[in-house]
Amino acid sequence: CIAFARGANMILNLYIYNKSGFCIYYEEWNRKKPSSNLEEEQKLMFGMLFSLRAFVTKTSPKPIDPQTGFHYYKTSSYKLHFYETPTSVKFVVLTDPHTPDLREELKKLYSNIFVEYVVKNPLYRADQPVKCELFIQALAKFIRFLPSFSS
Amino acid sequence: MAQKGARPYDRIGEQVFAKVDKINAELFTLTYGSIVTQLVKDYEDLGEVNTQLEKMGYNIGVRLIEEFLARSNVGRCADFTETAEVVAKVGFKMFLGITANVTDWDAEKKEFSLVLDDNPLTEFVELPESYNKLWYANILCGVIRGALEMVQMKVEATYVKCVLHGHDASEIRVVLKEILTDEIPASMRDE
Repeated sequence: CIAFARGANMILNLYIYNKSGFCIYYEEWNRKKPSSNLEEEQKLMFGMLFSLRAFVTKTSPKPIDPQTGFHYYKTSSYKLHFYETPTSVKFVVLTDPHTPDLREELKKLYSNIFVEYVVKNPLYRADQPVKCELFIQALAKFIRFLPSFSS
Repeated sequence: MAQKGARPYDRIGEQVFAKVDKINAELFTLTYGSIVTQLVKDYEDLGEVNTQLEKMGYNIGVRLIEEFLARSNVGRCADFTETAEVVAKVGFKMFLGITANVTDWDAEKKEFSLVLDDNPLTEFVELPESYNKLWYANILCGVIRGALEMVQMKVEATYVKCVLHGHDASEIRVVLKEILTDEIPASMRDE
């Protein structure tokens, strides 16, 4: 459990979804209100993002790429950042509302951590939850060193 | 036929190739050679060996595409002709150190040929007459199929010419079967 300063930048939690919409990884760092049913929440999150992506594309005044068009949404209590790779892997990060767009950080997370420790792990099969130790460690280190993470 | 805008991919290919880790070419050639030899011993039927090589290639391709995207930063391709250029100039350059040429488009722009002048996999290899049915580097066809499937394109890739069979250059024919759309994933459908 990490103590945080009021009003400081904070990473709350992270979801990673594969092509089929299954949440292959979830972790939380600073979540105040625990989920009543995590599996249900993950499914809802995916469904919402799937529909939101389609909606954003439809309502856009000029053509945008459905995979990269939507960056984040912001509420009074949190910001939800979204990054989707051309292979349909989706990264979702919730932070405090003041954190700037984490798109570049999510791209790095994909390139330097997900691809290195998950994709290249011969024992990892797609559609399985990610349990690779090296990935979890590298991810923890990466998140901690983000300017947006308060410790 | 040179296309406007085709040039940049050569440069991107060079840049990415400069960045990636490299291994000794002989080690690579010999490793691949021992894989093919083992498969020939295990399966005896050369048609089956071709199939196994393609399957292995497919499994490599579905992972390779992620590495490709991570290193090259290439975004979504506008159309299949762009995809062909990216595969030939950036993909092949990044992983094999060679560039392929894209030729022989059909009228509908759904099929093309990849022509390879040299190929590290087949360096120093000689195929005896009795191995005429074997497409030695067939793993590449699987890699192309696996990689493109992960970015929503269902293709068939087959060898049509090979230097090991006496042709001047090797040629892989790539056919676009289907563009896979974003259908509602299984996790969202009602049981």
